[in-house]
Amino acid sequence: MRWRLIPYAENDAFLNMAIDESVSLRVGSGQSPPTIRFYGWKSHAISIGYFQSLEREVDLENCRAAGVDIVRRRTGGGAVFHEREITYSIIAKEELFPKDIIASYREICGYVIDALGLLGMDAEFKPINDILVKGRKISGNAQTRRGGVLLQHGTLLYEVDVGRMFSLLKVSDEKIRDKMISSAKERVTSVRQQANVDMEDVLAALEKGFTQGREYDAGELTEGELAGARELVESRYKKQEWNGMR
Amino acid sequence: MPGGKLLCVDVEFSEGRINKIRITGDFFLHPEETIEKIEGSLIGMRPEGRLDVVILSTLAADRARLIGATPDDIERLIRKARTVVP
Repeated sequence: MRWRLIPYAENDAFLNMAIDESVSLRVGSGQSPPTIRFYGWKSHAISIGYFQSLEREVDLENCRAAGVDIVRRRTGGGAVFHEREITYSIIAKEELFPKDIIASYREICGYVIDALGLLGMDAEFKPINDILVKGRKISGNAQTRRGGVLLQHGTLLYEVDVGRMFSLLKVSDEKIRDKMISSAKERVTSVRQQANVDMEDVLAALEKGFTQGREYDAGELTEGELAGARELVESRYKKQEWNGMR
Repeated sequence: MPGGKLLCVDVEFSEGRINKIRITGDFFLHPEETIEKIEGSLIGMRPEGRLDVVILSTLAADRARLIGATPDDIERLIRKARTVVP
Protein backbone atom coordinates (compact mmCIF):
# COMPACT_ATOMS: atom_id res chain seq x y z
CA MET A 1 0.00 0.00 0.00
CA ARG A 2 1.72 3.18 -1.16
CA TRP A 3 0.64 6.46 0.30
CA ARG A 4 0.73 9.89 -1.27
CA LEU A 5 2.15 12.84 0.65
CA ILE A 6 0.95 16.25 -0.50
CA PRO A 7 3.40 18.86 0.77
CA TYR A 8 2.29 22.02 2.57
CA ALA A 9 0.36 24.54 0.51
CA GLU A 10 -1.91 27.44 1.42
CA ASN A 11 -5.44 27.89 0.09
CA ASP A 12 -8.50 29.77 1.18
CA ALA A 13 -10.83 28.15 3.71
CA PHE A 14 -13.40 27.01 1.15
CA LEU A 15 -10.90 25.30 -1.12
CA ASN A 16 -9.13 23.69 1.83
CA MET A 17 -12.31 21.98 2.99
CA ALA A 18 -13.34 21.13 -0.56
CA ILE A 19 -9.99 19.47 -1.30
CA ASP A 20 -10.37 17.22 1.74
CA GLU A 21 -13.82 16.16 0.53
CA SER A 22 -12.81 15.77 -3.12
CA VAL A 23 -9.85 13.58 -2.20
CA SER A 24 -12.06 11.54 0.16
CA LEU A 25 -14.52 10.81 -2.64
CA ARG A 26 -11.72 9.64 -4.92
CA VAL A 27 -10.06 7.55 -2.24
CA GLY A 28 -13.45 5.90 -1.75
CA SER A 29 -13.83 5.10 -5.44
CA GLY A 30 -10.27 3.82 -5.67
CA GLN A 31 -9.13 6.59 -8.03
CA SER A 32 -6.79 8.14 -5.46
CA PRO A 33 -4.29 6.53 -3.08
CA PRO A 34 -4.44 6.99 0.68
CA THR A 35 -3.30 10.54 1.21
CA ILE A 36 -1.54 12.66 3.81
CA ARG A 37 -1.84 16.36 3.20
CA PHE A 38 -0.41 19.41 4.97
CA TYR A 39 -1.91 22.84 4.45
CA GLY A 40 -2.33 26.39 5.65
CA TRP A 41 -4.98 29.07 5.30
CA LYS A 42 -4.32 31.86 2.84
CA SER A 43 -6.45 34.46 4.48
CA HIS A 44 -7.10 33.85 8.14
CA ALA A 45 -10.19 31.79 8.67
CA ILE A 46 -12.54 30.22 11.16
CA SER A 47 -13.83 26.73 10.64
CA ILE A 48 -16.79 25.53 12.65
CA GLY A 49 -17.83 21.97 13.36
CA TYR A 50 -20.65 20.31 11.44
CA PHE A 51 -23.08 20.54 14.37
CA GLN A 52 -22.24 24.00 15.63
CA SER A 53 -24.49 27.01 15.41
CA LEU A 54 -22.80 29.61 13.20
CA GLU A 55 -24.38 32.58 14.92
CA ARG A 56 -23.77 31.23 18.39
CA GLU A 57 -20.10 30.49 17.80
CA VAL A 58 -18.83 33.24 15.51
CA ASP A 59 -18.86 37.04 15.73
CA LEU A 60 -19.90 37.53 12.12
CA GLU A 61 -19.51 41.29 12.18
CA ASN A 62 -15.96 41.23 13.54
CA CYS A 63 -15.00 38.49 11.08
CA ARG A 64 -16.36 40.51 8.17
CA ALA A 65 -14.50 43.64 9.33
CA ALA A 66 -11.26 41.64 9.77
CA GLY A 67 -11.63 39.84 6.43
CA VAL A 68 -11.73 36.44 8.10
CA ASP A 69 -13.38 33.69 6.06
CA ILE A 70 -15.79 31.34 7.79
CA VAL A 71 -16.44 27.78 6.67
CA ARG A 72 -18.40 24.88 8.09
CA ARG A 73 -16.49 21.59 8.15
CA ARG A 74 -17.86 18.17 7.25
CA THR A 75 -16.48 17.02 10.59
CA GLY A 76 -17.85 17.62 14.06
CA GLY A 77 -15.87 19.24 16.85
CA GLY A 78 -15.39 22.86 17.76
CA ALA A 79 -14.71 26.20 16.14
CA VAL A 80 -11.08 26.83 15.20
CA PHE A 81 -9.38 30.10 14.36
CA HIS A 82 -6.82 29.26 11.71
CA GLU A 83 -3.97 31.73 11.81
CA ARG A 84 -0.43 30.65 12.63
CA GLU A 85 -0.80 26.89 12.49
CA ILE A 86 -0.29 23.85 10.33
CA THR A 87 -3.29 21.76 9.37
CA TYR A 88 -3.01 18.15 8.29
CA SER A 89 -5.46 15.73 6.79
CA ILE A 90 -5.18 11.98 6.49
CA ILE A 91 -7.59 10.28 4.12
CA ALA A 92 -7.71 6.51 3.64
CA LYS A 93 -10.00 3.53 3.51
CA GLU A 94 -11.53 2.93 6.92
CA GLU A 95 -10.15 -0.60 7.15
CA LEU A 96 -6.60 0.77 7.47
CA PHE A 97 -7.45 2.14 10.90
CA PRO A 98 -9.04 0.77 14.07
CA LYS A 99 -12.81 0.45 13.86
CA ASP A 100 -13.08 2.03 17.29
CA ILE A 101 -13.18 5.78 16.76
CA ILE A 102 -11.25 6.81 19.87
CA ALA A 103 -8.59 4.19 19.07
CA SER A 104 -8.24 5.65 15.57
CA TYR A 105 -7.94 9.17 16.99
CA ARG A 106 -5.27 7.85 19.33
CA GLU A 107 -3.37 6.25 16.45
CA ILE A 108 -3.46 9.28 14.14
CA CYS A 109 -2.84 11.79 16.93
CA GLY A 110 0.15 9.56 17.72
CA TYR A 111 1.79 10.74 14.50
CA VAL A 112 1.51 14.35 15.69
CA ILE A 113 2.78 13.37 19.15
CA ASP A 114 5.77 11.64 17.54
CA ALA A 115 6.44 14.77 15.48
CA LEU A 116 6.34 16.93 18.60
CA GLY A 117 8.71 14.43 20.24
CA LEU A 118 11.18 14.99 17.40
CA LEU A 119 10.99 18.71 18.23
CA GLY A 120 11.73 18.02 21.89
CA MET A 121 8.18 18.24 23.23
CA ASP A 122 6.54 15.63 25.41
CA ALA A 123 2.97 15.51 24.15
CA GLU A 124 0.04 13.30 25.11
CA PHE A 125 -3.28 12.29 23.60
CA LYS A 126 -6.35 13.42 25.49
CA PRO A 127 -9.53 11.69 24.37
CA ILE A 128 -11.65 12.46 22.55
CA ASN A 129 -9.67 14.47 20.07
CA ASP A 130 -7.02 16.68 21.66
CA ILE A 131 -3.24 16.67 22.03
CA LEU A 132 -1.71 18.34 25.07
CA VAL A 133 1.76 19.54 25.98
CA LYS A 134 2.31 20.12 29.70
CA GLY A 135 -1.44 19.81 30.19
CA ARG A 136 -2.26 22.51 27.64
CA LYS A 137 -3.92 21.97 24.28
CA ILE A 138 -1.65 22.30 21.26
CA SER A 139 -3.67 20.39 18.67
CA GLY A 140 -7.34 19.72 17.97
CA ASN A 141 -8.53 17.01 15.61
CA ALA A 142 -11.77 15.99 13.93
CA GLN A 143 -12.75 12.86 12.07
CA THR A 144 -15.50 11.72 9.79
CA ARG A 145 -16.16 8.38 8.13
CA ARG A 146 -18.23 8.22 4.97
CA GLY A 147 -18.45 5.73 2.17
CA GLY A 148 -15.84 3.51 3.80
CA VAL A 149 -13.34 6.36 3.97
CA LEU A 150 -11.82 7.86 7.08
CA LEU A 151 -10.93 11.54 6.95
CA GLN A 152 -9.22 13.10 9.91
CA HIS A 153 -8.00 16.64 9.87
CA GLY A 154 -6.37 18.53 12.67
CA THR A 155 -4.41 21.62 13.49
CA LEU A 156 -1.11 22.10 15.23
CA LEU A 157 -0.84 25.56 16.76
CA TYR A 158 2.43 27.21 15.81
CA GLU A 159 1.68 30.55 17.45
CA VAL A 160 -1.52 31.61 19.11
CA ASP A 161 -3.10 34.99 19.78
CA VAL A 162 -5.89 34.18 22.19
CA GLY A 163 -7.10 37.80 22.40
CA ARG A 164 -7.59 37.95 18.62
CA MET A 165 -9.24 34.53 18.65
CA PHE A 166 -11.85 35.74 21.15
CA SER A 167 -12.51 38.89 19.16
CA LEU A 168 -13.73 36.63 16.34
CA LEU A 169 -15.41 33.83 18.27
CA LYS A 170 -18.49 34.54 20.36
CA VAL A 171 -18.22 34.74 24.08
CA SER A 172 -21.39 33.69 25.87
CA ASP A 173 -21.21 36.61 28.25
CA GLU A 174 -19.28 39.77 27.38
CA LYS A 175 -18.69 40.44 31.07
CA ILE A 176 -16.52 37.35 31.34
CA ARG A 177 -14.56 37.92 28.09
CA ASP A 178 -11.36 38.85 29.98
CA LYS A 179 -11.73 35.84 32.25
CA MET A 180 -12.25 33.57 29.26
CA ILE A 181 -9.14 34.95 27.56
CA SER A 182 -6.97 34.42 30.63
CA SER A 183 -8.44 30.96 31.16
CA ALA A 184 -7.85 30.06 27.50
CA LYS A 185 -4.27 31.32 27.79
CA GLU A 186 -3.79 28.82 30.60
CA ARG A 187 -5.41 25.98 28.67
CA VAL A 188 -3.83 26.53 25.24
CA THR A 189 -0.23 26.51 24.13
CA SER A 190 1.67 26.56 20.84
CA VAL A 191 4.83 25.14 19.33
CA ARG A 192 6.54 28.52 19.66
CA GLN A 193 5.73 28.71 23.35
CA GLN A 194 7.33 25.33 23.89
CA ALA A 195 10.30 25.25 21.49
CA ASN A 196 12.43 27.59 19.44
CA VAL A 197 11.78 25.99 16.07
CA ASP A 198 10.63 27.43 12.77
CA MET A 199 7.71 26.33 10.63
CA GLU A 200 9.97 24.33 8.30
CA ASP A 201 11.24 22.27 11.25
CA VAL A 202 7.67 21.59 12.32
CA LEU A 203 6.64 20.54 8.83
CA ALA A 204 9.63 18.25 8.48
CA ALA A 205 8.84 16.63 11.83
CA LEU A 206 5.17 16.21 10.91
CA GLU A 207 6.10 14.59 7.61
CA LYS A 208 8.30 12.14 9.51
CA GLY A 209 5.60 11.47 12.09
CA PHE A 210 2.93 10.75 9.50
CA THR A 211 5.05 8.71 7.07
CA GLN A 212 6.98 6.54 9.54
CA GLY A 213 6.65 2.89 8.59
CA ARG A 214 4.80 3.74 5.39
CA GLU A 215 5.82 3.51 1.77
CA TYR A 216 4.94 6.78 0.16
CA ASP A 217 5.55 9.15 -2.73
CA ALA A 218 5.48 12.91 -2.55
CA GLY A 219 2.70 13.87 -4.94
CA GLU A 220 0.26 16.50 -6.03
CA LEU A 221 -3.48 16.76 -6.27
CA THR A 222 -4.75 15.39 -9.58
CA GLU A 223 -6.67 17.51 -12.06
CA GLY A 224 -9.77 15.50 -11.20
CA GLU A 225 -9.37 16.14 -7.47
CA LEU A 226 -8.86 19.86 -8.06
CA ALA A 227 -11.77 20.14 -10.46
CA GLY A 228 -13.98 18.27 -7.98
CA ALA A 229 -12.81 20.56 -5.20
CA ARG A 230 -13.59 23.70 -7.21
CA GLU A 231 -17.10 22.39 -7.83
CA LEU A 232 -17.55 21.70 -4.13
CA VAL A 233 -16.40 25.23 -3.29
CA GLU A 234 -19.30 26.61 -5.33
CA SER A 235 -21.90 23.96 -4.55
CA ARG A 236 -21.24 23.66 -0.82
CA TYR A 237 -18.47 25.45 1.01
CA LYS A 238 -19.20 29.02 -0.12
CA LYS A 239 -22.95 28.58 0.21
CA GLN A 240 -24.88 30.26 3.01
CA GLU A 241 -27.19 27.20 3.03
CA TRP A 242 -24.19 25.10 4.13
CA ASN A 243 -22.32 27.50 6.38
CA GLY A 244 -25.48 28.79 8.05
CA MET A 245 -27.37 25.51 8.21
CA ARG A 246 -27.21 25.45 12.03
CA MET B 1 -20.28 16.81 28.80
CA PRO B 2 -17.55 14.27 29.66
CA GLY B 3 -14.60 14.88 27.32
CA GLY B 4 -15.30 18.60 27.53
CA LYS B 5 -17.90 18.67 24.78
CA LEU B 6 -20.66 21.23 24.52
CA LEU B 7 -24.23 20.21 23.75
CA CYS B 8 -27.05 22.71 23.17
CA VAL B 9 -30.70 22.01 22.47
CA ASP B 10 -33.03 24.70 21.15
CA VAL B 11 -36.53 23.40 21.49
CA GLU B 12 -40.05 24.73 21.07
CA PHE B 13 -43.09 23.03 22.55
CA SER B 14 -46.66 23.12 21.40
CA GLU B 15 -49.41 21.65 23.55
CA GLY B 16 -46.85 19.75 25.59
CA ARG B 17 -45.11 18.20 22.61
CA ILE B 18 -41.86 19.00 20.83
CA ASN B 19 -42.70 21.21 17.90
CA LYS B 20 -39.25 22.34 16.78
CA ILE B 21 -35.79 21.18 17.82
CA ARG B 22 -32.23 21.95 16.89
CA ILE B 23 -29.30 20.09 18.50
CA THR B 24 -25.96 21.87 18.25
CA GLY B 25 -22.52 21.62 19.78
CA ASP B 26 -18.98 20.37 19.30
CA PHE B 27 -19.75 16.67 19.69
CA PHE B 28 -19.24 14.06 16.96
CA LEU B 29 -21.77 11.88 15.17
CA HIS B 30 -20.93 9.50 12.34
CA PRO B 31 -22.59 9.78 9.87
CA GLU B 32 -23.22 13.45 10.55
CA GLU B 33 -26.52 13.62 8.65
CA THR B 34 -28.14 11.37 11.25
CA ILE B 35 -28.58 14.49 13.41
CA GLU B 36 -31.44 15.62 11.16
CA LYS B 37 -33.10 12.22 11.55
CA ILE B 38 -32.70 12.40 15.32
CA GLU B 39 -34.28 15.86 15.37
CA GLY B 40 -37.10 14.67 13.10
CA SER B 41 -37.76 11.61 15.26
CA LEU B 42 -38.30 13.81 18.33
CA ILE B 43 -40.96 16.03 16.76
CA GLY B 44 -44.34 15.31 18.32
CA MET B 45 -42.79 13.59 21.37
CA ARG B 46 -43.69 14.62 24.90
CA PRO B 47 -40.55 15.61 26.87
CA GLU B 48 -41.46 13.14 29.61
CA GLY B 49 -41.54 10.29 27.07
CA ARG B 50 -38.70 7.88 26.37
CA LEU B 51 -36.72 10.28 24.18
CA ASP B 52 -33.53 8.32 24.82
CA VAL B 53 -35.07 5.19 23.31
CA VAL B 54 -36.23 7.09 20.21
CA ILE B 55 -32.75 8.56 19.76
CA LEU B 56 -31.11 5.17 20.29
CA SER B 57 -33.32 3.52 17.69
CA THR B 58 -32.58 6.30 15.18
CA LEU B 59 -28.87 5.81 15.81
CA ALA B 60 -29.23 2.05 15.40
CA ALA B 61 -31.21 2.40 12.15
CA ASP B 62 -28.36 4.46 10.64
CA ARG B 63 -25.66 2.39 12.37
CA ALA B 64 -24.56 5.79 13.65
CA ARG B 65 -22.12 6.52 16.43
CA LEU B 66 -22.55 9.48 18.77
CA ILE B 67 -19.34 10.58 20.49
CA GLY B 68 -18.96 13.21 23.21
CA ALA B 69 -22.67 13.22 24.07
CA THR B 70 -25.29 10.56 24.79
CA PRO B 71 -29.02 10.12 24.11
CA ASP B 72 -29.51 10.62 27.86
CA ASP B 73 -27.77 14.01 27.66
CA ILE B 74 -30.10 15.14 24.87
CA GLU B 75 -33.15 13.89 26.76
CA ARG B 76 -32.02 15.66 29.93
CA LEU B 77 -31.53 18.99 28.13
CA ILE B 78 -34.93 18.78 26.44
CA ARG B 79 -36.60 18.15 29.80
CA LYS B 80 -34.63 21.00 31.35
CA ALA B 81 -35.75 23.33 28.56
CA ARG B 82 -39.34 22.26 29.26
CA THR B 83 -39.02 23.29 32.88
CA VAL B 84 -37.32 26.60 32.07
CA VAL B 85 -39.75 27.67 29.33
CA PRO B 86 -43.14 26.10 29.98
